[in-house]
Amino acid sequence: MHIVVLIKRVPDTASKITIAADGRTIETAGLQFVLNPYDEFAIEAALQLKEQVGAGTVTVMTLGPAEAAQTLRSALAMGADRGVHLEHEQQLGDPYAIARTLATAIQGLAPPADLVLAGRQAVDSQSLAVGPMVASLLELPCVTDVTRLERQPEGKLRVEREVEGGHEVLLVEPPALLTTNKGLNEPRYASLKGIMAAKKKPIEEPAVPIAPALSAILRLEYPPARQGGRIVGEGAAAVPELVRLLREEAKVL
Amino acid sequence: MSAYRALDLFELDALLTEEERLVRDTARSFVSERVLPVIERHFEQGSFPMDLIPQMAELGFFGANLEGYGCAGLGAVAYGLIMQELERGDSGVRSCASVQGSLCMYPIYAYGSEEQKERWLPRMAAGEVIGCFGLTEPDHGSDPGSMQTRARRTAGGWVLNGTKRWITNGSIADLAVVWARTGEDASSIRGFLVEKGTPGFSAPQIERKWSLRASVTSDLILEDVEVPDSAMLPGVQGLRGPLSCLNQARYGIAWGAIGAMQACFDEALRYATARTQFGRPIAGFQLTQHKLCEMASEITKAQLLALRLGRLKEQGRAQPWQISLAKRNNVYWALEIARTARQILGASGITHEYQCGRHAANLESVITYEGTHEIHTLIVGKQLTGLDAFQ
Amino acid sequence: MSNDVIAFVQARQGEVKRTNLEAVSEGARLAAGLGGRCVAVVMGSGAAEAARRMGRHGAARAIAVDEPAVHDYNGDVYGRTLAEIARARDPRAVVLSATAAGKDLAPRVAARLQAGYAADCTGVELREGRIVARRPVYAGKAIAEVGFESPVAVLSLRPNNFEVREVEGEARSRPHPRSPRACAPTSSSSGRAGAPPPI
Repeated sequence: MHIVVLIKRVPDTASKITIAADGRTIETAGLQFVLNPYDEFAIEAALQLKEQVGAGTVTVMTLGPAEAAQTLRSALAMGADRGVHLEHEQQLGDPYAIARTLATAIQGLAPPADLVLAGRQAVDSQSLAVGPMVASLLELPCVTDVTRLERQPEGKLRVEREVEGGHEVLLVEPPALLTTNKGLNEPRYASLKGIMAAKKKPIEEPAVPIAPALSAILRLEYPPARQGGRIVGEGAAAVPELVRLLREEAKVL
Repeated sequence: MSAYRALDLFELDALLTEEERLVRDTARSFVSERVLPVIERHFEQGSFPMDLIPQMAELGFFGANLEGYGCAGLGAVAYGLIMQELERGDSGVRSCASVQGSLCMYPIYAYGSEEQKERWLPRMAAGEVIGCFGLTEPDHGSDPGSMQTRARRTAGGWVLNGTKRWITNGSIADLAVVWARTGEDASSIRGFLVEKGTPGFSAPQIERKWSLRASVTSDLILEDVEVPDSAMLPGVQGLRGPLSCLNQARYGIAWGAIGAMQACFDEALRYATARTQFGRPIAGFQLTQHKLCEMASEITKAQLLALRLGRLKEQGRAQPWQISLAKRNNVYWALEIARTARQILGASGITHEYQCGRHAANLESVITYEGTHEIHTLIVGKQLTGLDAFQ
Repeated sequence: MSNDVIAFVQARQGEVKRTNLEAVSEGARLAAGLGGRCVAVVMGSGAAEAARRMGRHGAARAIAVDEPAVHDYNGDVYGRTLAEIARARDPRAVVLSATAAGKDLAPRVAARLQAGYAADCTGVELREGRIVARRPVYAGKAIAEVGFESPVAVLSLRPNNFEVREVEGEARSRPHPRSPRACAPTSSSSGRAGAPPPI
């Protein structure tokens, strides 16, 4: 079984974000970068499936600048077998271009992928798009936000996803693409032996054309400063007004 | 609370290899997710978090810098980074790993017979066998050469008698490396592997500590303990044996102290930026900024010192006095920083809700064990002057 | 290319959640600015009945897809079907509410239409006739303004951030001529544990 996991190098969510002088990107100097947390669930799921089957290859693939090779290496240290780095100077922001480029690279893999896994979202661009886009471009069945994954004896995958107010159970026949959500598993740490072994694992750099972007960030700005609290009244009498404010001003209802 | 952020003012990350960063990141995540959530409770209870042992073993933290026998074979800097991160959690947790790797596995690795290595090292790396190191005695701390523990030759082996004190891991250990005199002077000192359960051997725990509370500290009592010839480490004789082990451990402590400093600085900086007095964050006051600046300067210097020492060690060039200088400096400043952090935190700093008080209490032990601050001063002094102040 | 805007609506037994109406209202506002019409594509059980009501929120037309294959939400089926309908109308934009299902569906449609996609938008405007979306990034620590290079843009709208407008009128409604079963699911639902409508 050949499992491909799509991963991304992202700024640590604890990092302070500073908008760069160009007004369209962020300052990367001094930022700590990590493997996108949702992608860790995908890597762990791939490793568990491989362990369960007892054979196979887990390929981790990323699109990003030279430094993204470190992210691949950390996935290899967790236990993935093979890395694919689609190098691009800038971290692309357009979901379509990312998905198109990754889809082309996946098509070029030998052996072909039996399963593609991706985190449900990158914590920086938070579009939740690349997984389902890649699936659509490759005409693969796709289930997003998977919180439970079991391989059945005949090879089908039984997956669960949370939906509003409950959860869905689906049977998927590979090849397919799944995006992974929090709660699916507890990602393993890269052990020291894993880290040493990762040094010897290959990272390929296939010549895949970077697809043109169909959207672009024109401008970044900071969100408006949080406003102070307000007391709308006391007791039950205040409830209608509170509901009105929550609906009309805070727009959370 | 947002995630821990390590101070790296001089971009020292760039001086680490990719592998070293990965090792550091594994240890850092492990400490954030597995150590910090439980450590306060263990410190209060005065218990060691035993379930961390198999986890640390699985990740390869025990004897990480040794080659073969199930060990990871890391370089000195990567090993140091593990110690740094573990001590960001707690000096007691780092001490457990230090003792296991540097004080128990290392002497077997360096001075043991092939049979001893095969027998013990893989199980120690796997955390199935916990080790301790018996050198210090109730009446002989900084002067181990005058130890009283004796090994007397018998037909098929040795009989050990004596008492060791301040032995980390003692009561939880399956195996003790016990240093004993086989003759009259220090040159007759040999190392013996004493297994738990050997008749005459006991390891009562030392209670009522206010430092290293999340660490097991014990006496080792040896009353006519018979061990076979095969229990003696054949490869070393004299004080050089235990001192070479201490060098390994002291090296790790020089790194570990940085972890304690970082934990305290991180906490103090967060607190100072969040805590408002006189209408603004206390971090905006000059006296607080002075404290933070001093802390950050010392952390940066300690990092450079440890990193350079590690690179020298990797080249086989690190001298014992260099290790002494680094251990002495880094632990001294770690204690100062922990106290300063406590001061910034005001009364909050004395509660278990914050870490700095626990680190300060722990570091009072760290500045004393593995060569006191004073002994390291004299080792450096001897190097500088050529005059030996011990004699 | 038309200047139309497609707004996606999910129906369940003829009922439509309010957030879907936000998408129709915003789609209509956008279409007016572009000089086109808003076409609501209503999918699910009772879609035809629901489709007739979309005119009240500004849709000029409504297309109903009410086949058993779309009675439960399935991203693969919905993605193919909505993309197919949208492609035939060659719109400037496809808007959806960024509900759980909307977030699942929007990128699939964008991929099939070769469209730029902006997720979870908190604002949409026209600037010199071009669509510009505002959306939070970096865990809300920054807001991005996104412009599009593709002829069509797909926008998912953060729920409860856009007005539901009531207008006079009725949408010209018709059922979708082709069965969505033409694009059969390759993944099949094997069961559902107490799941209410996914939108």
